[in-house]
Amino acid sequence: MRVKLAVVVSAVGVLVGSALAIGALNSLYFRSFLIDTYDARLLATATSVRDVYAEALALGVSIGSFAGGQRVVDETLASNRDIEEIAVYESQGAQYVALPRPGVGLGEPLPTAWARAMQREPGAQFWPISDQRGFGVLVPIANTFNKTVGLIAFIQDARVIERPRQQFDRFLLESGLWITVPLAILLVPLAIWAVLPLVRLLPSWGRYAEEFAASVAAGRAPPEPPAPQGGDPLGELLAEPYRRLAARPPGGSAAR
Amino acid sequence: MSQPAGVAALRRIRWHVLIAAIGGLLIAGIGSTILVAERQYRELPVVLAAKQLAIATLLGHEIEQAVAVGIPLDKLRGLDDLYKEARRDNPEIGYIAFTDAAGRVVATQGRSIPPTVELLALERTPPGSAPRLGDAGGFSTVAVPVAAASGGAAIGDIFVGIDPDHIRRLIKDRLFDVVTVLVVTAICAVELVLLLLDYGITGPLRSLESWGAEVLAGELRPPRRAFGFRELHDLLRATARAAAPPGSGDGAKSRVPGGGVVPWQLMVRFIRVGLFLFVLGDTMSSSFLPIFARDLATPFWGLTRDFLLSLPVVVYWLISAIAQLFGPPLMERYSHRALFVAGVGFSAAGMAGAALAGDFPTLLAARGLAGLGLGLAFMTCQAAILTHVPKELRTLGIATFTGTFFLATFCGTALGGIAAQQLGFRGALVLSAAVVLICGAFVIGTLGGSRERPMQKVAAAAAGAPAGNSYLRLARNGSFASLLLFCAVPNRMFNVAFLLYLAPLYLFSLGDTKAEIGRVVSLYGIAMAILAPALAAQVDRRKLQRASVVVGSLICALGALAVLLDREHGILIAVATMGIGQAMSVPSQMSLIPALSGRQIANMGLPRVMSVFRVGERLPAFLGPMVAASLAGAFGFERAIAAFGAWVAASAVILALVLRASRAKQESPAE
Repeated sequence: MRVKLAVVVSAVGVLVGSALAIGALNSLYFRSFLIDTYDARLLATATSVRDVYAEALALGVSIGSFAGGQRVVDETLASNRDIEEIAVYESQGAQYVALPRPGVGLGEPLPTAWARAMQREPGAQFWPISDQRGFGVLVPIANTFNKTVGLIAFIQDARVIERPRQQFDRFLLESGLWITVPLAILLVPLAIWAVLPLVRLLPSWGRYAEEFAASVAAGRAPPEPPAPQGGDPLGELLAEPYRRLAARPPGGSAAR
Repeated sequence: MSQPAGVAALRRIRWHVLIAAIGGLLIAGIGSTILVAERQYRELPVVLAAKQLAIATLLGHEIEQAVAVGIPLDKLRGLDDLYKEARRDNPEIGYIAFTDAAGRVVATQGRSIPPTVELLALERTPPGSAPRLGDAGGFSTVAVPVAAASGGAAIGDIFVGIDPDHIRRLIKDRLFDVVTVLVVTAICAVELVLLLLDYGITGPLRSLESWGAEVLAGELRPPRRAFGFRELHDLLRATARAAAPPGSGDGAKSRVPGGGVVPWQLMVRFIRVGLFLFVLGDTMSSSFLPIFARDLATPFWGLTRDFLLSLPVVVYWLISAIAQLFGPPLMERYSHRALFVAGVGFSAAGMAGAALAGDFPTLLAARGLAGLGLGLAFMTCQAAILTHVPKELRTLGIATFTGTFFLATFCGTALGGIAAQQLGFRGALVLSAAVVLICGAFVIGTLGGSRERPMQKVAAAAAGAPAGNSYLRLARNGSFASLLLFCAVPNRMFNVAFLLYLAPLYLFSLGDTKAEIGRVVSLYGIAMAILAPALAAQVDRRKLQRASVVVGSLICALGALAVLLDREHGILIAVATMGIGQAMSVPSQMSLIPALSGRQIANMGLPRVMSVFRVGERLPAFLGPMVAASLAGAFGFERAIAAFGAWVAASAVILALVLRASRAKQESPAE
């Protein structure tokens, strides 16, 4: 690729690539922030439902036989349309198994990924979880001896973060275009200016080198280097070596 | 002809391109950062308000239920406790207040409650609506009406205010994310711009410059290789034909035996980019590997879980150090390119193995492979840089290596965190392997023009390993041993103990969040990346390597003592001064080795001497956290840090005396 074009393409390419990278990374960071924020919101609801179960446990009612629990879960689901599912698990030995809920049979084990999240941070107050429907939190239900005897999983629809995320992405795209396009247009003459001292006389030095080589091959006397011009870096680098080359004795031995 | 004028013109062009490219990038990056930060500053309280709305609704629900069972508001007890509990569970809540239908305050909880008149003036958020935020007493507040459970008239209003300090803290975190994005993008973009510039323009011009210098010195041979953007490529090619002896064919293909085919500056650029890609891929898993290891760790042989979890890191670093010990014989036999590619292969296999690991021993084996890859790649990069950089610029060469390592570590850790969130741990490990393989492809394509001398390598390999007493003689070299024992070892042990153990735990004990701790600790890497090359250029120019290692150690030590004076800012000062001090001392240590152990290098070769130094420095580093834990347990964090500082300072003074004596000996006429 020609120097001028290569410099312009490189400059604009790197600028556009950087803008895309900045946009994509900011979008990903923002998504992660939204998930944390919505998890925190969900946690407020989850904690209040969990407290109801904990109070029942304190009164000696086990999770599985606490009839009022399902009513609280249903009320919470009805008043929070973003919550996709609330699943209650009771410990049975080393495992946690689900209480029945629509579409899920009694005794279904805790998903492996959620169990791993617990395993990673055994003492956590909650664990962020996700499945194909969305993301949410898993909170422990402790008895009066502070022993975890059950879990409640809250899953919210992944689409809850879509609207703020799309708004943010649209903002990124618009501001990216507002910054990148004028800057790219500005960068074209700037990039050319940057290499102008080089490219201005590059063709004439290229032609000279070709003529020189052709003269040497044909056994003719090589031509004189191009006339020196102010600010010609190639002239400063090449004129004298070419003169020295032209003066070499036949056979090309060193002319020290 | 004025050669310096030509060089100056070349530098001018390089600066013009850099100013244009980096200026454009910075304007775009800073512009977008300001816009993103400003938007988030405006929107963050609104996003957070969703949670406050949920809390307010829940608290209101409790009151509704109490009133529904017939408890009048003025007889309602326990609201204060309920609110206190809500604030304890949600520390971002500045205050909670409940007013009855007449606007009288019934219950409040919080560090400062806004005036009632301001509360009552706030807009209420109707049930089921998006939160409406208003300002009351400097708190962003959500006001929610509490209706009777039966759907009757309003009982009152509940107000939940977000602590402005919490919002400021979150905005600071978000701003840090945005700045991290900017810095990571800028670092990668600048590396790419410099690579394109050096390959397309500066490299060919340097080639023409060195060809011109050779011709003026009487060496009438063609330029070694035609490359670069088209006109420059053509000019080099035509110059090669013009300079070729008549009848010798195309001079562009000729190579000088043992000589590099591209200028050393371009070769160092290639090594730098290769190292950058390698470290980028390698460190992508740093942020999540301990968590990933927890998933797989199942106790065996009676080892404790905490000990098991430290094994992936220990195995990785231990094998990387051992690989460097056995590296020199390989370097005599194989090219830099071959060894670097072998390192890439082991590392990629290690990453892929970790991604597929189904149990803990497999993960350990995979980390061992990755460590082997790191050791080979590190050793090769350092050797390659020292091979190509002129002797008088060795400190700069090593600083380039150090700076690149820290820049790539910063980018790799940041990108790895995002990759793990998007792709999961195993997906992120596969991505790391892919990045390392891209590095391999780059190295295969670019390091072929190395100026190593294969024939010499074969001869060195045939000559066999140096005798054991050569190592003994190296150990008896007082200057070399002092540099290792009184500079490299204390600095490295303090570095590992401080940055990986003492600083994070101390900051955690002061109440800093993980993000804040990460920010403070990352200051070290940033200082190293920026300052090491800048300081090294001055050190090389003024030949200040000896002073640099001593002064650097002292700066590092004095900063550590600052924790005794100021708890709040002491750690920040200690991290920053460690960055500044080690940016001065680390590159200079490596460039001092040839000056301090010339006889041993003549006997054993530079790679062997360097490997002894590197391994001697790294192996004791494992003791750093253990010593730190013992000291911190006995005397507290501040004194433990200060004790390390005192040790580094005392070592620096001893080293200064030894170096002074060795210089006097070198300069004495008898020598």
